[in-house]
Amino acid sequence: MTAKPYRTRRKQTRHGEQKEYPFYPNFIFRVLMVILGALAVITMLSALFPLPLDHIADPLAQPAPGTRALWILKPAILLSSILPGRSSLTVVFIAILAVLFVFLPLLDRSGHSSIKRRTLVAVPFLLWMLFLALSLMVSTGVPG
Amino acid sequence: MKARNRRANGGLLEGLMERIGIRGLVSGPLERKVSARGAMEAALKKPIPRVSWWSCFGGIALFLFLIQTATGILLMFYYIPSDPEAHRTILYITGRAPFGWFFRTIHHWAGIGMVITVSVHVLRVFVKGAYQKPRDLNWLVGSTLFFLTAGFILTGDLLPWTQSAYWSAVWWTDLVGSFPVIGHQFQLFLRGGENVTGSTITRFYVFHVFGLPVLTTLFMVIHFTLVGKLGLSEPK
Repeated sequence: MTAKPYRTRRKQTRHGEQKEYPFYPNFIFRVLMVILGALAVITMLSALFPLPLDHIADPLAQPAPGTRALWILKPAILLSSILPGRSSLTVVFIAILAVLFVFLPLLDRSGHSSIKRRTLVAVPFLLWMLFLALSLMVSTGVPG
Repeated sequence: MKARNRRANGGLLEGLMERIGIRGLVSGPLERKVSARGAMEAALKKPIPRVSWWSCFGGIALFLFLIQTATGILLMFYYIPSDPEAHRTILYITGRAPFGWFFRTIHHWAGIGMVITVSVHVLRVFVKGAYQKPRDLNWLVGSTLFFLTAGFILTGDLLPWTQSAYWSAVWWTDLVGSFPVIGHQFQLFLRGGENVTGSTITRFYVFHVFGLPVLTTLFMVIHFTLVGKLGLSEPK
């Protein structure tokens, strides 16, 4: 089994381009290149931005005004500030979204692969992803 | 002779497989039925659709998970999951353990990278519509992996026992506790009591280094088995 990239042409598009290729070496090499890139980025970030260590936790003290929330919690904190009333509404809302996310294939059984033909599911999903992305950029403190 | 010629003409992988082939170790009817080399060759030669660079994000997420496992094991050599040893041992790792600061920072950035790559992977699957039949079960497994990844961040953040991590943990476990009916019981299970204390660190540590990795590995095996069975989604 010699490494021969782009030699096993089984299917071709109308323009004569290759539509399929073997898993090895083509796809494996591509993934390896991306993995090396990711490794380089992480090593560079680790070397340039060493992780600082905050003060030891004191459960008896009140949170200082500048105490930053964990970044992954930012969407939930922003959501709890938008949704009125009790926090139970926020957690139920998040749980419903999580269930809808997991069971997405049951909601959309259209069979269309084009996103333009799945607007009923695509628009709320993409808006939610946009909300998540934007809320991560907002500087959020821990709610007191 | 035939094998030697094949090794001479073949590539690196073929030579390697020739060396590590299990033929000879397994004898009897099993050898005739199970050909590991043949199965591996078939898997590697299997034609896949010409996919874009976006298809690599699942592979990067797996790679980052392996980095997390390796650096996490190194951190475990020094870390003690209790109050106040948790903070003291992290100080030791950061300041005195050989390359401790580096492995801790890699663990941090790879965790963030894992969330980002899994999110991009999910977004790509959604845009391509690859969550529909016959890949609906794989979406279910993959979306569970997405939440497990978030679970790693949530549990791992408290482990250094810092002021900001403490208040973040208090906030999100309070939020979980406000879930109707089962919320309070689940909050007690997570915290190991009414408040976030040293026993919460121990619990989060167990979730972080045992519960979540075991579940993640299990779901990853199912995920990749299904990908192998159904193939990569065809680009449109």
